Amino acid sequence: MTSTKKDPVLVILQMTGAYDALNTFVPYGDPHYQDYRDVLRLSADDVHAVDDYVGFNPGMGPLKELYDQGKVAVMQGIGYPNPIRSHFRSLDIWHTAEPDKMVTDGWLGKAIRDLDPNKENILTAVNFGRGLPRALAAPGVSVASVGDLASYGVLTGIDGEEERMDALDIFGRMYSPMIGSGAVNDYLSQTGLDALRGADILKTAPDMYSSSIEYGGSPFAQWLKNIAQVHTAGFGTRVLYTGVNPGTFDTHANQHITLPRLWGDVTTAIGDFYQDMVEHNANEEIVMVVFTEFGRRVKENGSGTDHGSGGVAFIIGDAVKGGLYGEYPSLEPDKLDEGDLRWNNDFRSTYATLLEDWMGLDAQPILNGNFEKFDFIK
Amino acid sequence: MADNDIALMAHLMRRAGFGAQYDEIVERADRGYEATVEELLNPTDESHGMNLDLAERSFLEWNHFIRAVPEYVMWRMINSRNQLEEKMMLFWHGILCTADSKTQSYVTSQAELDMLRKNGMGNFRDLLMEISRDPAMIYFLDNCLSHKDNINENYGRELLELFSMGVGMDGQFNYTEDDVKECARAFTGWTIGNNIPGQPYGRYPSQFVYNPSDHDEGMKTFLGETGNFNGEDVIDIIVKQPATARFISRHMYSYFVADEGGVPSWMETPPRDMDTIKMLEDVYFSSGYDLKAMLRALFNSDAFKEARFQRIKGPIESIVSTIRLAGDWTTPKPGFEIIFDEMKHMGQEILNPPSVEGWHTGKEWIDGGTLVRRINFTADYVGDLTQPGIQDLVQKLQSEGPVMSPVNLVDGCLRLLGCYELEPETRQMLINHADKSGDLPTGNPEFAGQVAQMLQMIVATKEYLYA
Amino acid sequence: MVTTEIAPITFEYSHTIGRQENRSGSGFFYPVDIAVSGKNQLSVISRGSETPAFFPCKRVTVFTVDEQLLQEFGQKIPPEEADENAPAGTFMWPTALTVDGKGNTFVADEWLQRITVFDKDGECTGTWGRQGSGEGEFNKPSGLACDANDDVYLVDSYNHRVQVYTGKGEFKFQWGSEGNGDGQFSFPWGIEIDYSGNVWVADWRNDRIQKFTPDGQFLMKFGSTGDGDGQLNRPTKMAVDKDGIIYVADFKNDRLQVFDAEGNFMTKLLGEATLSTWGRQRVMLDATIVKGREMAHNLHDREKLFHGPISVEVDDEGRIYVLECPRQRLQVYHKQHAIFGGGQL
Repeated sequence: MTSTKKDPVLVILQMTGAYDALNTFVPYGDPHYQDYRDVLRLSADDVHAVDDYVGFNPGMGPLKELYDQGKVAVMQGIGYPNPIRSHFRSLDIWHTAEPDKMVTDGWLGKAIRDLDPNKENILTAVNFGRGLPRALAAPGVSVASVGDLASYGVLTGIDGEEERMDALDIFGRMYSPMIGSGAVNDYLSQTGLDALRGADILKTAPDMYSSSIEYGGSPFAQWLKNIAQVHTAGFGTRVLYTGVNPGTFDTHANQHITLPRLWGDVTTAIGDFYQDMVEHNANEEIVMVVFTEFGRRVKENGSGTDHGSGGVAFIIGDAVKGGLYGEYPSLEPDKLDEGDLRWNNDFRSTYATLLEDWMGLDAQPILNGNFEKFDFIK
Repeated sequence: MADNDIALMAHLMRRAGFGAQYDEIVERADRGYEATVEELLNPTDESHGMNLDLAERSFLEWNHFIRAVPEYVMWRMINSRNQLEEKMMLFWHGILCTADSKTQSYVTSQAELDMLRKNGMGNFRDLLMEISRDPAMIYFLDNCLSHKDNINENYGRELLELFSMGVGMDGQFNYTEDDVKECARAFTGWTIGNNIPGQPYGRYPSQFVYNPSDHDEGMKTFLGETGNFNGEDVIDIIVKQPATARFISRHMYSYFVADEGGVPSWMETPPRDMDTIKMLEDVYFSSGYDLKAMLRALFNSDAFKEARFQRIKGPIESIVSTIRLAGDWTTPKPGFEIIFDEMKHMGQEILNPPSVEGWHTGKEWIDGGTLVRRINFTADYVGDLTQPGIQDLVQKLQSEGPVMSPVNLVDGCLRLLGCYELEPETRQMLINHADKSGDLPTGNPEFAGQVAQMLQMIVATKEYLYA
Repeated sequence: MVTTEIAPITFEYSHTIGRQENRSGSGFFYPVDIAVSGKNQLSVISRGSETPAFFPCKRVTVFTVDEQLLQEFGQKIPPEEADENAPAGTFMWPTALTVDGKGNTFVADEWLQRITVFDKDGECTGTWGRQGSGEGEFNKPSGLACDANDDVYLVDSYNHRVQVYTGKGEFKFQWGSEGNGDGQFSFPWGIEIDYSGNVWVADWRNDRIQKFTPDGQFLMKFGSTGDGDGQLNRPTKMAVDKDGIIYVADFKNDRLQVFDAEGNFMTKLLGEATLSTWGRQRVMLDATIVKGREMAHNLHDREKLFHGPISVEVDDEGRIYVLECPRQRLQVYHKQHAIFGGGQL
């Protein structure tokens, strides 16, 4: 790697709730689609057509723009063996890259360990949202998990700025490894001091940042803005993670109204973030991944859709070779799997591509196996 | 009342329960240590002073428990007077693990947790029998997919490895791969009925079914004994193994006395206190596998009484004890989601252990993210002067006199938090900090805020991470 | 001479209405009360859940006895906004509803401590009431009934009393105090005004039913704690039909008990639920549910039973409606008379 090239950065955007693949990346040209979806069907006039078979949901205009610029890889038919329709378990599988058994380590947690084996940077990974996703968890890996960047820190509940500064000063001294003894004490001391230092560093990000981009008011848009702030601050953060709140895309009812609105919010924020990175000359360093835990049933339930399988994911960035990857799962009734789309490409192939061809890591030990890679990274 | 009696009672209530407010500690210390141990070991009152019927009026999802089971668990942990029953439920929930992320049936999990409450301090053989018949477990570890002509070893293996014996002890393996297979064969036919789907009227509890036609009636050789064993026979063999006594004793020690390190290390790493483990093993056998007898022996041992602040609190312990200290959630109100968010942030979601191995405890609870959450959550609570428990604590300090010295402020807060002990350097830093304001007039309006801030500093210490 | 003796009254199961619908549409989510709101027309209030994704979730559902959805109104509010500033028409912990002669719907909310009024088109026309223990104030209202003059009788459960208001919320009078003597209450829940204007109260924690004159004079009581015939375990609501027969939702005993006008035990019903029309529509959408129901062990024996019967209502045609909170449905029964009702041989 030459010294002028910046380190590659991965931004993971988790769309919790299981978005409906069929009405997200819509096979509007398929006569079966029109049959299955009486109320929810979208026509050529509705979608942002990619070709005469598929198109993006009406709310996904900003993503279609990036697609037209060749910056979006669409991973069609993505999934895993023996699909499970539980939100929690299915997310676990995406997080741990382990469909067959329950394990505790996340795929990105292991990647972070490989990126920073000597734990030189306490901000190698930063999460924005409520709770740390298991994807980022691994023993010995510390990830800053931030609800709101402006107010992030230790002892935020102490009233008065001066009092709080005093308290943090004492905190720093109380967590000295010199107080107390033993390995566990050393570990706790180090963790406390890292957390304090991490918060100190992170809270400088908003002040260093300026941009002409006005992000939307949703938590997701604000977290993307936080990601922009942290990335442009140059802390050396390599993995940034955020998403929408649990259940957001769980459109069991009124999907024809909610899904375009949700995608509108999400893809507008993604488009804004991309433009922000262009403005900061950082667009080449970042690859975004948009995924969800599973797809939804092919047949609608009246005004919404229930849990199914077979999904679609999106990889976005200047380093991405745009286009369609995998195959769109067949909608022929006898090719469905108990009324669901049949997945045809293992999500770990996408992970392997990202880990090796983008992040420059060895994917095998992280994914616990070898998976055929795609060529969506330039 | 001697200070040491109060400190000892605070220690017992932190370990055998989720902590207690100072008044309750004093009241229990008055009744005596052994009397309190007996009271904790022998719950009598059905509702444990929790007003469960009134609470259910507010939380109607508790009617038949089709939803809102985590809420119910939290309510009991916070409000039950019989704290040890809940503490043992959480103990077994972390060992005999099932996860809702797979089972997806709160109503079935509820039956399991109730079983753990009922048997958690009973006979270990009965507990193993019940967990082997537990529908959530049968589904979670796939015993319903184990058939006489095509066994699934999952339950057979975990029963030995994680629920009773452990892989090995004193450097030796406790069982062979053949034992795992034979164990699984013995449990063929232990399955669940096909349940009513959750739509349109909500889920029904899954039911245990013994299917004799799918049970392998052949001869089996298990841990050196041969016969046409069924599941009961295998459990009878398991409970009499020295390895089982060791495994259960180490788990109890690690949960109640001091961190024993990760379970996978136990085969090679001897217990940190072999004498106490041996004592527990002896009681295990002499009492006929009676868990209550083991707990009684443990709580009355010097090893337990002396082991102050040697265990890192788990997230649920941390959250529940903070809420109990503040006196919050004694009456029903909306907002359980906030607590569940905290549990998730801190790394311990009830009903969702990360895997069948349960939660990794000890120092593994703590990383940068979880530490910040824990400190901030606790500090926000103890700094909240609208909480009745915190108001009470302030009043207790005010009643000590018109003026309070920095030393007395620090020591008073430590005592009322449950006789916490700090490293001398830490304590001195806090005294120096308090000294900036000099002696405090307790009648001043600022006094409550000054107490609150001292409490916030104390709960942020390394020492407070321990129980 | 040959005679055949039959029980004076029997009950014929008719059908089941409802299904789990945790957002909106043809079903309920933790329904807590039911009212007859017109000819062959019912209204149900769903208490719902805090889970943010479920929206509007807490609502009044208006439908016909043959399961035509007519109207829905009201919606949930998140807990952090559930205070005195909660917009009219939102619910946090709704407990009861009643419909007056003009078709106005009154909904009690024990967290927001107020009564919300909707007109017959489902438009919210305002709220009234506030928390307290003074006259006209209440603490956790839990039962509502309208009399023939459209006055509103309200069970003030944590103040252990009944209060009477005009439909606009003007206080008229009250009775009751905490205790287990005649006319005293322990956390009372449901209330009913019978065809003669007398008032019945489910005296919840005393496990009994009490009867009063319209102005609150104690008349009688029945019931004691237990699960034997005629005993009760936290009764939540009762209904009284034209003949004076009393139906009690015996909540924690999972049954409906029937008493004669003097309060003597007559019979008990344990439930006969079948698949509702809405339920069938839901099932047919998903082949795995169809298959699951075919495979399920003891499906009918388990599914038919009452679970958490929380409210009961009767109508002028002799139909009895039993609402089950955790099963998201109501079961409909017909009362069968021994008296010849005319018609062909």
